[in-house]
Amino acid sequence: MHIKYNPGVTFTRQGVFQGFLKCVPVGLGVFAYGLVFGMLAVQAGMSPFQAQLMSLMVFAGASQLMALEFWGPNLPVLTIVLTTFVVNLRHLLMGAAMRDWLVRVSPGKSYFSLYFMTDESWALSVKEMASGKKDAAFLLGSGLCIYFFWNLSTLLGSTMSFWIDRYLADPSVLGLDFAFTAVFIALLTFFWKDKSQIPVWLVAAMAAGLAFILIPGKWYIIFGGLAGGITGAYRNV
Amino acid sequence: MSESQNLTVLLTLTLMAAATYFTRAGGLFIVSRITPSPRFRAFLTHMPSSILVAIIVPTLIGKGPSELIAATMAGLAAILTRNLIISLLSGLIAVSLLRNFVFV
Repeated sequence: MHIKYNPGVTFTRQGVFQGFLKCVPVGLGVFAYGLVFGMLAVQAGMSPFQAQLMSLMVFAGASQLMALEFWGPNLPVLTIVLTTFVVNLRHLLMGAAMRDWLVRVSPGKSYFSLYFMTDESWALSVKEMASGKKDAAFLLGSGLCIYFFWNLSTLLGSTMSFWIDRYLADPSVLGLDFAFTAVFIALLTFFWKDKSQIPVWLVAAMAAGLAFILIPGKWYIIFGGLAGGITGAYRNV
Repeated sequence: MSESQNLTVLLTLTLMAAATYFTRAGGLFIVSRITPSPRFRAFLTHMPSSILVAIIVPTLIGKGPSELIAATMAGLAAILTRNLIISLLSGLIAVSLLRNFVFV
């Protein structure tokens, strides 16, 4: 229950701006992927309007690209929705991790901010939270930044499908696919405190590696997060 | 595209959006309704960095030497400068140079 409105945690307009600005470099990486999504969506038979609606409503890169695999005259609605759900299960853990901020602002603000939560904006926000920052609006701001770039690039990708196809079919040519990895690595180093984290991270890496090899999809993120969290819980209490 | 197909698309998008939002909101919904024990607190403390570890693992084991070296560069830049943008640029420059000129 949301009872503790801790005065220490705030939700300000500056927090939204700060989150937005700090997320812009990551937003540019997202932009490249939105172009590709828009282009592929049109090739899969969606109208630019439908592609845009998907980016506005669903706003989840991996599930949107996955849905294109199934797109056609006869939509397997249940398959698409269930796969979307499974692909996004990792968000449950990410949302839970934002507890220290989000239980201390009003439910309306929390659940509105969570609509915009992505892997990238979550990673930046959880880092802010862990370093003792108190403005929970950072999560909303960074999420809005990704939302902005994702939707703008969907628009450009779907309407300029032809040129995108020709010049940017593969973002890895520019190394842009590596942008996310670089960001996650940098944020991980900022989480370093002491040696007690080594076993936690090793277990997380092994669990994620095994899951990545054995199970298709994004399960490796969930297995890694759970395994590391449980290791931390049993070694450090 | 027929009327009924348009409706099916709209239904699909709505259900996809609902499924996605359910996962985004569900985690907070659960943890805001329980008072975490010290052990669960420790779990919540260690889970975020473990998720970050998990996210980068496929790049480290599934790609090639370019990505491994660029990942090391990005990590070193982050440790030395504590600056996200410098680290991001180091990784990007390293990976594009290595992919285009070294491990072609």
